[in-house]
Amino acid sequence: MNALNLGEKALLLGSLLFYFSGAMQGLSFLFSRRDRGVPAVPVILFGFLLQTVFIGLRWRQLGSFPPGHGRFEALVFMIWTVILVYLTVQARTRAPSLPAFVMPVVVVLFGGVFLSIDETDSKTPVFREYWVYSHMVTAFLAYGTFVVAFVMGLMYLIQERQLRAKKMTRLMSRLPPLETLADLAYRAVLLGFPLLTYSLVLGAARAAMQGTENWLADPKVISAMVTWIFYAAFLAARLARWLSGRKVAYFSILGFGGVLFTYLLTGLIMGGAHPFQ
Amino acid sequence: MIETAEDVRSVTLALVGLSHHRTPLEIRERLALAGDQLTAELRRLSGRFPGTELVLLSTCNRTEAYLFSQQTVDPVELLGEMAGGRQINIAHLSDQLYQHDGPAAVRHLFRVCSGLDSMILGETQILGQVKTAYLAANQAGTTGKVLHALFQESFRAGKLVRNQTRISEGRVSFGSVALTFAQKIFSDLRGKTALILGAGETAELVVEHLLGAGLENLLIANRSAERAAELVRKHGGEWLPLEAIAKHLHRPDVLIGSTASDRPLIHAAAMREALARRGERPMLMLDLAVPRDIHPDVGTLDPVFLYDLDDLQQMVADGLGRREAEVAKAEALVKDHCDRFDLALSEMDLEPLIASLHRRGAVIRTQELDELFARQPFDEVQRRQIEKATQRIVSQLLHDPVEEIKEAAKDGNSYFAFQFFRRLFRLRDGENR
Repeated sequence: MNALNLGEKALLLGSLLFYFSGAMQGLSFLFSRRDRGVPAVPVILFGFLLQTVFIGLRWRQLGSFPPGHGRFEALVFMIWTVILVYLTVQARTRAPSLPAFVMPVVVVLFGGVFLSIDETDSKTPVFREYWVYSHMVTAFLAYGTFVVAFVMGLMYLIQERQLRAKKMTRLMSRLPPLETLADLAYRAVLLGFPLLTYSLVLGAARAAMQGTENWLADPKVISAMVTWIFYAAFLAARLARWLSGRKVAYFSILGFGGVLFTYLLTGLIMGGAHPFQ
Repeated sequence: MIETAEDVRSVTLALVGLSHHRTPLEIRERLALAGDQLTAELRRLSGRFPGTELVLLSTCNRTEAYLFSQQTVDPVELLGEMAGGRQINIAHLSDQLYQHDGPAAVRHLFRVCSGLDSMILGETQILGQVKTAYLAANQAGTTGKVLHALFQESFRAGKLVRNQTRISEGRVSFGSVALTFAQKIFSDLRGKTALILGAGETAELVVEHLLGAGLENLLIANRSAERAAELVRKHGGEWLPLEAIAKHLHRPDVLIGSTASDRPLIHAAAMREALARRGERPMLMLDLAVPRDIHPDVGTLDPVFLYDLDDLQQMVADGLGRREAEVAKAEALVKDHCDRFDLALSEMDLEPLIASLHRRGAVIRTQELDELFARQPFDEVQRRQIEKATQRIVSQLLHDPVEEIKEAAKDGNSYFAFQFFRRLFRLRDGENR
């Protein structure tokens, strides 16, 4: 009942192929002689549509919000949020080099998807509750923004390296200016932080109200709170204008490490009871 | 009548000129013409040398006359006429002049349009300048069939060479290098501030590039109020006394060092404070001074991007080197274009040439027949027979030369074949166009 049927497999594979194509187009732009527009976007958009349909179908099939049903569905949804945030950024910034950096990360995440393709869990009625849905959706949306901030941070460091190398390179001319990249990273975090806050507050309230024992000691919860504190410090330092562009990039990259750890690794490495029944 | 090699030369496409290669700026400046002056001069020269197609290319780096004429026109004489009008005696410049005929003139123009003959290899301004010259000649009514074709093709050649090679790519001046860095550090130059320490010419050029790209605020820190005042008058902005810059270091986004100071004026400690005051926003620093105005330690600070004269010179040299690597490819493309143009030109020439030869034949035949029929009474039948026979003679005599010239037209190098053909049959103006 939970295995993917043929149509779903086709949709999933289809979206991967389009994302992969977007990555290739983005990379070829980066290294090509001619300064073309952003040909990758229509392709990515189409992949996004396919993936949206896929998630919709799974939702109907499983009867509830898919990410609650295990790693596979959760990763698919995380990728979906990353693309959503990326498309929003791309719509507002004429930066044709974005696909070259965002899409390879997405393709790698998709690798994780295929590794966990049979890990769908069909029970868990707790996810029928509105609060728990919201907790998860906002958490994933926040992760999506943090992934994008991470990519912006990476691009910043690459561009900075080009500039300090004191040579005119094609890569330098293809990448956006430093100010733009730092700004995008900051704004992505600015978007994600309230979402993360809301998610943690909801989760804490729910756990407290339910009287779950020792929920504060759960590794995932601790890790999430550390991540929250990290991003809070980032935003505070940035608002106080203590951070140079390079430090913004470092924060964005490290923060993503925190996200990865919180989401993926605590479950794998440390066990713990989250999600709580 | 065409009697000498000089005559052949003059019924031709020719070019004569002076350029930055051998002629100093003072003379080039005096020869430079633009706008109404140019149109007037074209008309004047056209009056002095009637029946001549003429385009004058007159920029700060070159003055060239392109002409096509049926008469015996000495290109040097024409240029001398133009120079005389500007109080320059062309005879004194004979070792600086260059002259090209026919295919060589075509090649020269194509090279010029491609940026291969420019002071800065691959520069793009020249194409616009050639277009302006062509349009001015159109307006003055001094262009004709040949120069139309030549100049149209030269624009295509120039565009093609720039598209298919990297001859125009890269940054080859301090100003454009600086601007490129600024545009890759800052998302928008509008609203940004630049500070010049001192007032060197290079610094001014660099600032002009930045101002041209939208930078709005200029600060000039100088010991001399007059030199600073001159800059402020030219570009707007604010003057600061050099001794007081420490208080203003947090203001600029771009800082240019260009004083004659023998010691650095800006050190890391002061800069650290200024950067904190700026909220750690990035700063582009260009140290054009020797000895340097900005201590190298400043370049290690996080938000600072510091480039000194060596760095900039290296980048300009790299850019020029990359352009130079494209020269062989560009020259090959130019040659290709020349060959194709020559072919097109000969096709243009061919029909009128053959027609004029036939006309010559017809004229001679008619003249002789008229004389014969006037002297001797022939009856109708005899007349017709004589007419037909003479027609056949003329046709057969002309058949071989015509076939040969048609063959020559198919081959790329027909230009001088055509000239010789004209000379051989002493075909002249009015007869062949």
